[in-house]
Amino acid sequence: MTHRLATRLLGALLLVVLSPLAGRGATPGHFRPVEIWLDSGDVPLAAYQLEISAGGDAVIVGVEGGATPPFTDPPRYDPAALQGGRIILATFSTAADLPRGRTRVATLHVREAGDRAPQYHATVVAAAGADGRPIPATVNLVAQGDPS
Amino acid sequence: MRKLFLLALLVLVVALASSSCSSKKESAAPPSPTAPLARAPETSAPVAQAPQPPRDQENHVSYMADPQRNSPGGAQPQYAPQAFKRSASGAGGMMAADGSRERLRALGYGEADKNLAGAVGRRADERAAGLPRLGAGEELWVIARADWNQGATPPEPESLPRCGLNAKPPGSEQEIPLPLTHTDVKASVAGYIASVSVTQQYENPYQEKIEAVYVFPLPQDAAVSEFVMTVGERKIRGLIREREQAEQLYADARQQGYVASLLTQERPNIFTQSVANLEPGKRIDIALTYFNPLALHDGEYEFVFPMVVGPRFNPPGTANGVGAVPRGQHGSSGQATEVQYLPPSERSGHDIALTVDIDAGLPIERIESPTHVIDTTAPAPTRRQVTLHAADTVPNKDFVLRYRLSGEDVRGAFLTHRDQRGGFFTLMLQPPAELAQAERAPMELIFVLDCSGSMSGAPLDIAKRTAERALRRLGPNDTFQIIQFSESAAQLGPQPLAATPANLERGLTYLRGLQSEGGTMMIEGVKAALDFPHDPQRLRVVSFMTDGFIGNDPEILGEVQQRVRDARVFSFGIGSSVNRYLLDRMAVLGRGAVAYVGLDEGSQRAVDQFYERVSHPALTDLSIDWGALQVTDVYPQRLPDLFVGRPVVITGRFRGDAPTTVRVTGRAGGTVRTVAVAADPSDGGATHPALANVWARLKIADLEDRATVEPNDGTAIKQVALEYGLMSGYTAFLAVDSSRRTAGDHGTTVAVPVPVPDGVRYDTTVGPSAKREIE
Repeated sequence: MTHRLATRLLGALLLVVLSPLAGRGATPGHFRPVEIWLDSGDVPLAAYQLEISAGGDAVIVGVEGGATPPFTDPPRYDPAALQGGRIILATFSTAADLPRGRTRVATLHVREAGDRAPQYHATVVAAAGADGRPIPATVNLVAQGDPS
Repeated sequence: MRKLFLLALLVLVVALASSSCSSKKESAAPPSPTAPLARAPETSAPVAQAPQPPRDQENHVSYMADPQRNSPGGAQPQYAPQAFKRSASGAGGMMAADGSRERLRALGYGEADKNLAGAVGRRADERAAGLPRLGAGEELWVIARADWNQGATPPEPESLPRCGLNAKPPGSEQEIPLPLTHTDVKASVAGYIASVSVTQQYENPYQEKIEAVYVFPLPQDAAVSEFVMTVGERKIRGLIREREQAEQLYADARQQGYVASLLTQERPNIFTQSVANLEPGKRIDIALTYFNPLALHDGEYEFVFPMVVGPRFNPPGTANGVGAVPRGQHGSSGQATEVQYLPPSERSGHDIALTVDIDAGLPIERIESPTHVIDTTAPAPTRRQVTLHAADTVPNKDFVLRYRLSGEDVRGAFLTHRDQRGGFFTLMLQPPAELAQAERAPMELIFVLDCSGSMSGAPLDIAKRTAERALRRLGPNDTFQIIQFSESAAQLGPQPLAATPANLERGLTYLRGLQSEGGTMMIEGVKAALDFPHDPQRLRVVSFMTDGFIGNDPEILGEVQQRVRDARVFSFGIGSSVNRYLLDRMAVLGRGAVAYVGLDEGSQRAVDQFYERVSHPALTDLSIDWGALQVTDVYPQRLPDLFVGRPVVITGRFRGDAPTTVRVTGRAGGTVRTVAVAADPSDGGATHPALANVWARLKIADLEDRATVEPNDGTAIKQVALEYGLMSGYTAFLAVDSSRRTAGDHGTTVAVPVPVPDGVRYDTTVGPSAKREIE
């Protein structure tokens, strides 16, 4: 009887001790925003299409709009091209007042997992001015630090 | 032995000391700079009734039941020994015997086991008796935790400290502070396709951080393709993901304190919206966009927006159903999906605004809503702007809007869309006009009336009147049968009766004597209606009259598919918030039609429509010659019959540019007939981008129908849904705001309770009182 009781008590105590450790052992990954900046030089930016990919175990969990009008609404994405860390974004605007120079057009929200930080890559598939003609533009990504 | 016992005690002391130190460290830690929220004032009311340890401290308690204390009776279902048992690992995990742990795990709530157990622990504290009663040899491990979450029973909303956002109750109804304050619906209709944006406004009225969970309806054919979460001024587009992955990511974000939202589909017309880490006083908007084709019956287009999920009955043994429980009794139904309902003495402040902008392309002759008070303006003869009247904003019944265009009838329409994926089309097939001149063959009319508790009162009265009207119009060569079902099925007689005056009177007497009570064992009604020998001289028409408030829809649809054979199913949906998914699919699978009878309109219209369909031969065994078009992937794959007054919309993919003539051939009354439809793939240069999503949604519906007979892992549905970015049972929308972590843990889960639908009795449909009726 005493043996059974002691065994159960010990089992309960192991449970008490090990449960928090088990919880800590899990690595669900961390979340971080990755800003997307487009630079169209002196030409007003009216439309763009970007392809962005992140290696490793990164998963995109949201697409936020840009910092200033007319790109404050989040761009659209191609669901058929969506994979864990790969996405194709596109949007356009017919607004009269279009941004020039370096503009934050969107922000990706990403969950990163694993020990290594993922390598982000971005490509401008197309960029266009107010007349719909292609314009040169460069893109770069700025991964924010883990807010925690 | 003694050493072992002492060792155990020593470990206990060390463990408790360690726990205490750890707790102090966490309490003393400075708050995160990214989480500047002020804590609730100390004078605020406690979160829950049960005593709780400090936040972020885990307080582990273990109970071991004494088998000698077992008693076979008296345990409440939620505390019953069958409900929980130790996991195989024994590492403190808890498992619901019905497998709900698997769902909790799938949801990714990291501490689901403990929280589930925590609920038991708290309830045990609240109950003077203390411990649940266990079966012989069983052990219950109870691990209490400081927080509430998805796995635990949430507190009553009034037990949470409030911010004073809600008004005092007017009259006898008490207004309950809830996190869903408003729903805004904006629809635009072009041709016969509606584009609808639904914005749900969530606002935390408590002084604690919460997770809001809302189970709500959408049209069963809605192709949900957009999801945007608005946090302050920032808009974050949600992405479509495989459901399991989305649930896991949401759980991770929630656990780590990020604002996140998740949309899942429980049935094609039932969805769950979860919003995590909604801070006190803060607001988050969730906007969904969907497309759906409008129904067209007898020259009238019908736009429908459902507002509340009706309380479903789940047959014994069902675990993947839709439970109906009283507010605050989370988890008590044991079903995978659960809707909480407000008792009649309570109401929520949640209201709804709705506008519909119609651009018909032809002059609109008449427009009306049989369900709501509307305001209408006419910017042009072909346009109408409809607004829900300010006095009719309680979301407790379907919104129905009908309009008719000028002209003799609506011609067959061929709409197309092309993009990088190829060409898509919809074709509206009109039945040949000469069908209306032909006489029908004798029929065997089987009425199947739902007499369960949810039909109590007005719905059953309407069903009786509808059946009576239909009976009185039978011809002398027809036969009829009346079947009722609730707990079981019963019928007027062993065989269908000839429609003689005496037999009709007998049938009417039987009809008038029907009473509603008990559960909805619809399967019994389906079997009784479809299984008896078919009279080869007559067309068997089976007419279900029900609100469809069942949680085992897939099972019913599977049975209909397997048993229908040559019969035709003509369903009548009775009530204010009918399960249109079930009724529509039964009619599709039964190659018949469906009509809806609301509480505020007579049954005359529905019966007239029904007789208009069955009084003339249908064009059956359809085949289509597509002319110069190369057509593939046509849905529905089994072409329906063409009945008088009821056009059929089919969709498909195509290649080809040349205008052509599409010929539809079928049999009617022993004669082969052909309908010709002009098809111009250029479509006058018009584009209809919604068609791709409408096509994909119909393909998913077809796959769902097949799965009711041949269950599968959903790979095909998932593939289509991911490619087209659509909601399905296997995909979900997820949005996470990773820019800021909120303070504290993930907070309390608060389900958004809803009113029972207009005309439905709470006492016969929700919770324990409803259950008593089925015991």
